[in-house]
Amino acid sequence: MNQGGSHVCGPSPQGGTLFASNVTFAYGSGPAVVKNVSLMVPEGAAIGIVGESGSGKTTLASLLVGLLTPTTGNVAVGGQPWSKVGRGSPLRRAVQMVFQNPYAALNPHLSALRTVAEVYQCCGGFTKTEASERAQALLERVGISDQTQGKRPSGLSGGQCQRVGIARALAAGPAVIVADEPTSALDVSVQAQILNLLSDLRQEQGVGLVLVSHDLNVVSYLTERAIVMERGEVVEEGATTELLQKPTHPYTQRLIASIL
Amino acid sequence: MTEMLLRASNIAIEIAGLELVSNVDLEVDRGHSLGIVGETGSGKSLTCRAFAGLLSPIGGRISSGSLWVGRQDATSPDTHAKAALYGRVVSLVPQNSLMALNPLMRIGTHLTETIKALDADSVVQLKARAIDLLQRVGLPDPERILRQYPHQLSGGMRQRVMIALAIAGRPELLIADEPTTALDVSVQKDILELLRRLTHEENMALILISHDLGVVAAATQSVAVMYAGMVVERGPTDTVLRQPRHPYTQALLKARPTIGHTGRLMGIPGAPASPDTWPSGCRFAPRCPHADNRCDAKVPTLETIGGGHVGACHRLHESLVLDLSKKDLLSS
Amino acid sequence: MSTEITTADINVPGHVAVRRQIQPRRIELHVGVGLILAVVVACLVIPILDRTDPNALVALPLQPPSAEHPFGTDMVGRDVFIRVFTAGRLDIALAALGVLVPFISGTVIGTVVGASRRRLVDTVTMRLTDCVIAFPFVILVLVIVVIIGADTRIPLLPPGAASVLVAVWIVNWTTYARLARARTHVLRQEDFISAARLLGFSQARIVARHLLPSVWPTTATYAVADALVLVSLIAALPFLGAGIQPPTPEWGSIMYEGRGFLLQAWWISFTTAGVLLVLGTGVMLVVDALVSNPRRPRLP
Repeated sequence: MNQGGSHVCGPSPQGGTLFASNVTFAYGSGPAVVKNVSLMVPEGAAIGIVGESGSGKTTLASLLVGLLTPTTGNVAVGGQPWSKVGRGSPLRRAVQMVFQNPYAALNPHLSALRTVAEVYQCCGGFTKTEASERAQALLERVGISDQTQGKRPSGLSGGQCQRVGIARALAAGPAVIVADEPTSALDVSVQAQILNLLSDLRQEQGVGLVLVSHDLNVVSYLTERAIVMERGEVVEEGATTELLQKPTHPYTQRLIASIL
Repeated sequence: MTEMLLRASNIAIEIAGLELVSNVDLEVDRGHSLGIVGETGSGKSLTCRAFAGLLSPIGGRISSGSLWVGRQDATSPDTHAKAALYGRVVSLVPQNSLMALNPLMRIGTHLTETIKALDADSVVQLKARAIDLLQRVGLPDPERILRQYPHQLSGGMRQRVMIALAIAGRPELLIADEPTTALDVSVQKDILELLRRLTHEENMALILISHDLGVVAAATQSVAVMYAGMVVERGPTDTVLRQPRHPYTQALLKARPTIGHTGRLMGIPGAPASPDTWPSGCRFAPRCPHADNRCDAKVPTLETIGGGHVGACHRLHESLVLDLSKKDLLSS
Repeated sequence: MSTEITTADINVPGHVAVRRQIQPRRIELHVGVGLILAVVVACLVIPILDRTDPNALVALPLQPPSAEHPFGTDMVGRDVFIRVFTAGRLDIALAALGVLVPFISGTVIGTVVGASRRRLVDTVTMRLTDCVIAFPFVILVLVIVVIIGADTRIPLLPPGAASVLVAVWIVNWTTYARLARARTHVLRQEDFISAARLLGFSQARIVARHLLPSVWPTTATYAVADALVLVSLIAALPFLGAGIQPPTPEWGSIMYEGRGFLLQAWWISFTTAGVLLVLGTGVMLVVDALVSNPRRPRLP
């Protein structure tokens, strides 16, 4: 596959930066679940978002990728707020997502190959055969062998589904991938494979990563910087190693103390 | 002085003609705690359902081997004896137990119904016994909780209620299937602490099932590691987790990311096999970095390593001891 | 403790393979399809093998079933056996046509509307379906008969069929549209639809490739059951003077005519009803099997 020029149809590298400023979000007229969060994802950086259930981390992820629109504040990709990015714009494809439940993340009616080829065909403007060839190469790269590529999600294991989901995100040539608990539904032995894959792909393709997780071990393995969220607010942020070794906020300290 | 409470020898479990668990040998002494670790499809939950007498609702049965609980043969079809056994001698906190409370019933009703069914002595003072149970599992203000509905409680509190229900029949063996999986990390530790305290105070034995080695390490005295329906290694928790001898246990330990760890994680290549495609030899062989001809040919049996530590691997004695300080010993 | 563990934990974690092995619903599907095929084949083959005119007077009236006339004869001496299976062709064809058009149009409309993020599109379509559903169906059929006239004919179909079909087409798409919209609203929350949106796929692609394949099984299940309702409806309309007119053989009119002779000649109504019952049982079995078919493996 096209390893060097991975941004098949993405924006220029400078434009890929994802930037959230003073984002607040509430569902309907309910209480704010994300409060005044600012976050910057520089080119190729890996940022962790840590928190327990109800901390607003998944909502923040949806805001970052543009699935939700902030109540106040805004999220900008390459300098453009999501509201001004059209469906067909290359900026739309610059931020992709990897989901928690690997089965629900894939269309149950499409094979692994079709799932990825569709992205090349629609986003990259490739012909059907070209798209298929590229999809084959990319799937091979993420560890889905030839024999497996024709299978639908129901014939794949959880780990394999997650690999296909990662390949689909990569096929769009994103500048940033937002991964929401990408391994919490997987077995330990498979989790390691997926974490390694994400780490390798980052290095190879220079894609930025936003990793949302409740698991501090996972965050420490993959990211350089992290924010800790509690009840919608960022309570602590900093370099991941520093944060985990010398936490200053009591909430972070409690989280670290509970690691088994 | 230790007395055997549960003894499973060589049991196999099948559902719809498919053998999902094979040759499992496990023992639990009174007041002892055993962890069972394994991944999806390893048969750990099924094994424990068998211990708790709950195979028939899912269409399963023990197809061979013997299972003794206390002084009773749990494989005998005597339903009267079984009624006396389950809930009273053995009790289960099921997986997904957060969803197991009826949303339309108050916590108090859950407790009193269960007490009525299991604990004849306490029927006269139902409420007092219910409050006592909630106090035992460390819930504050039990009077108020009795009047509440499940949705009004947090995940951690609901799990405590489930544990209270499980100990209502004063069981001698408590089985907890993934009791902390759905909980936040900070709550997880409290629940494990509670289980440890309860087993001590009530002199119960505990079987704790988890996919997470950390959970088992924190709460049990001995551990059995299961893979593809078989026990591959068993022994005192400390020994097994510090000096694992089976390649699968070693790989599991290395696959966990830990804070401060640098360099690549050692994943296990491939995915856990499904029961219809289990290899005829060692079931871990296709994913094992040390597999040779013997492993494909013959199923290894559990062999003694010493100090109650046993493992099922053909190369168990070939000094495959993992030194956990040298991470790259077994690069895959 | 046993009282607490009822349905919450019946699935063995992650055993996709096990679930594949246990498929009790297969039998129902096979039996159902078998029953439907038996009736359909009989309707196709019997009038070819025995070329007796269904309207010919072949014997004395009200003769009980015999080797020559397996379902007996009716009150004017026509062979009930031939009439029932000739009628079956018409009834099944009408049911198929009456279901297919609303099924396709309703499913597509419902999915497009459900996927649309414009409130107005949704409101307008849903109020329109409300209007159609609120209008009394029988009166609508009568109005349509007046408007298009009883003489308007659809090729190959007898007089009266056109008005019934058009009325059904106008009314029945609404149910499919509502079902499809509801299913689409559920699917819209699913991650794979979010992923498609993040990739910037066009709305048409999302509807056609990602939503419809998961929506149509739901409406198709309803369509099968709907076909049975439609057969009963077509059979009921002659009571009101609308629909297919005698002497064209039609299940409803055969049963209607036999109604007056239930005590002397039970076979006229009962054999017809029996065939309808076999078809209906087959359809219900198929619906049952389709509804309970597990589509996606669940996570542990």
